[in-house]
Amino acid sequence: MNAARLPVRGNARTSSRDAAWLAGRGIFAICICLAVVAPFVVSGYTVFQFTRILCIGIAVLSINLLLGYSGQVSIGHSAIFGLGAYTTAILVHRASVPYGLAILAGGALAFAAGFLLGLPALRIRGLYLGLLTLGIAVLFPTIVAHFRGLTGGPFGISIRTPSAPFGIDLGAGKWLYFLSLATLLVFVGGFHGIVRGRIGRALGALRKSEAMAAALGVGLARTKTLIFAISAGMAGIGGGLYQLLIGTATPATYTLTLSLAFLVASVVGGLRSSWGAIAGAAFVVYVPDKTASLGSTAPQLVYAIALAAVIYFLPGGVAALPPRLLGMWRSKRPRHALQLQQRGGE
Amino acid sequence: MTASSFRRPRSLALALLAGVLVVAASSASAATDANPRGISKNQIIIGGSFPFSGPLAAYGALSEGAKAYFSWVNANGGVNGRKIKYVTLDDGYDPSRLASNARSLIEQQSAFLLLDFGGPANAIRDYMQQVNAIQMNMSGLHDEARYTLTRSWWPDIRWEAGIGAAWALKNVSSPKVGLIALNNDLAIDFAAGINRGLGSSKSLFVSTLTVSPAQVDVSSQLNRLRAEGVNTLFLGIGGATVVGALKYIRQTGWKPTIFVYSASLAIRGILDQVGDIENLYSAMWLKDPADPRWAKDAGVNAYKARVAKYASSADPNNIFVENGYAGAVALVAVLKKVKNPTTASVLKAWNTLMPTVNPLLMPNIKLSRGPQGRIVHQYQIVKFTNGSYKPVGNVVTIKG
Repeated sequence: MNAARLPVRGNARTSSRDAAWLAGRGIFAICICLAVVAPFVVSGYTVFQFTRILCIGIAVLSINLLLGYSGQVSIGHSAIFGLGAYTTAILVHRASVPYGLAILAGGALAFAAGFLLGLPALRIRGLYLGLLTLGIAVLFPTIVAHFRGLTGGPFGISIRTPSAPFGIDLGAGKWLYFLSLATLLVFVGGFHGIVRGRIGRALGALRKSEAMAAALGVGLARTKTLIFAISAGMAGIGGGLYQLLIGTATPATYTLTLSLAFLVASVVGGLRSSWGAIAGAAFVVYVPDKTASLGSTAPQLVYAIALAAVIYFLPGGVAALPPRLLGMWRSKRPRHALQLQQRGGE
Repeated sequence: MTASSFRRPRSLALALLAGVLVVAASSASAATDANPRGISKNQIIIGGSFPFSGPLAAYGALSEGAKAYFSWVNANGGVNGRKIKYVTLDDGYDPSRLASNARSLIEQQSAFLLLDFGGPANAIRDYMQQVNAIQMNMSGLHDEARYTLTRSWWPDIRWEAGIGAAWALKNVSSPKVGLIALNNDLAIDFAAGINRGLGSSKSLFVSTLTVSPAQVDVSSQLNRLRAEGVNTLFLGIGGATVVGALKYIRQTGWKPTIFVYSASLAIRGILDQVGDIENLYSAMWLKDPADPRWAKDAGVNAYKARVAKYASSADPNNIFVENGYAGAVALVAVLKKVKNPTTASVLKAWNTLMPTVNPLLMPNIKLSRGPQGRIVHQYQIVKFTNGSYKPVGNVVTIKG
């Protein structure tokens, strides 16, 4: 065989990967620019909706970390989201705590709650863990309504959307949008840091086989409870931001229905994808509004159809679509010229 | 999964966020009296956010009734020459969707005022103050001092409960009062009203049991109250639950004096499923369109004809349809008093409303400015007998 005529496949693949990486970075930069400019060109209502997507996206991202990477089922994230929201509302309204600190406190309390929830998860899993967390989601509104002196009971607690600090000339709605966007980006970075790091490798082993993971030295208890706590902390902070957006927290806001919406968003968007979390959040924010005119049960019907379609045709969620389309496109591309030459020589 | 495949999805994440971008109208600013939002020479825009889906979808019928009346008004010259454009959105009884709908209706539809069901409507009171827009709850408690732009159509639940309790104190032998109510503001208001009505005899109020809106079977709560010796029962629960509760009471042979929250009571859909039941009372302010007593009533018949013409999918015998229609009648009566509507002038007209006939209110009950900014503050105690409500005593007026 003539060495000079050997195909240089390795170089072709590397340059193709670099090009894709650069393209990805370019798209990322463009998207950041668009996300920054968006609030200044759309209506206040659209900014409100975008901020809802960001806050719910944080919660869905937390579910992706918990369910998508550690395999732990939680149907109780509405309660954790609500815990963060109510903590923020109570601290701001009753103790005049600055909202930033109040949100962090809500996240910390949610982290602790997630740690406590992670303890039963050591012994139960799958359906039973789901049922346990479902019970928490069902109980949360009742508990909140019961402690009326603290939570305002059925009337809830109202706090105003804060203005931008340091006299920055930015409306309250836009300020909260940017705060939520920055928080989501931080969490997306953290998400990727976790799943690509040591913890992510441990979660991968856990997901495949707990016995194997233990044999490899993965601390099951530590890893599972830590992930539950981190997931809960994220959701709690998302809840605090959501509280600032909605203004009034009532028990009717943080119900089991919200937990189910988070799960639908996670599955539809992509259980293990950060951008899928945003896509899923946009889905659950816009579907009820856009389909309500079709009938009183239209939103639920659309949720059900979307879930079935995703599970059957696109198990990785919407996040799996671009790689699949890219793969299909690549498979149709003409072969590399050198490869053609190589075939001709043979 | 390789590093490069991580990078592409992450960048596409924000592409998706950007992909949702829609260039829309200008952002909301507070309406001013010089330039009122939603008012033009020919049109008034009214927004409506109601639960058309979800567990409380039955209350979406309120909006259907309002829509029928607005359509009739438009067909008969409008309000001082202005046609009403009524735009509705579904909130599914979810406060966050209501918050979104309010912004959409005010900022995108330029609504002059907003109608909503109540309950989660507390979530938007601050926003409505910020944009200087009137919010009219069909139901719901409001804090008139703090939220000066919020008004309610339904009278205060506490008044109704208080009137019932005061009547029971006089007319029931050795009353022992118990309450089953939804675990929200309904239970709190009902209990507060009962205590107020009993006055110094509060000790006769022995038990309050709450249930979630989704709970249909309250037999265990009924058994518990019966075991406690309750002989005067207040029910502040939803429609389907009322049916089950009344049937169970009859089946078990228990014969308490029963007061049912007027907004949960209807001949069509509730009492027609229960059949005969003894000692059933309520404090009503609105005529029940399915009551044979009003078969020849001009106001009720006009309402039914207009619903049949302008909201043909709505059932005119549905009391919620009639309730929403009557609320629209009241709102239009206020709007007609103002030649050039602004937030301030409409509120002033509401706040100074003199006794006005509304054909769907019970006899001798009129709209007028009352406590808490409410324009309905009179009740007629009725007893359900042989398929109809019979008045008991005189109309009671709440003064404060």
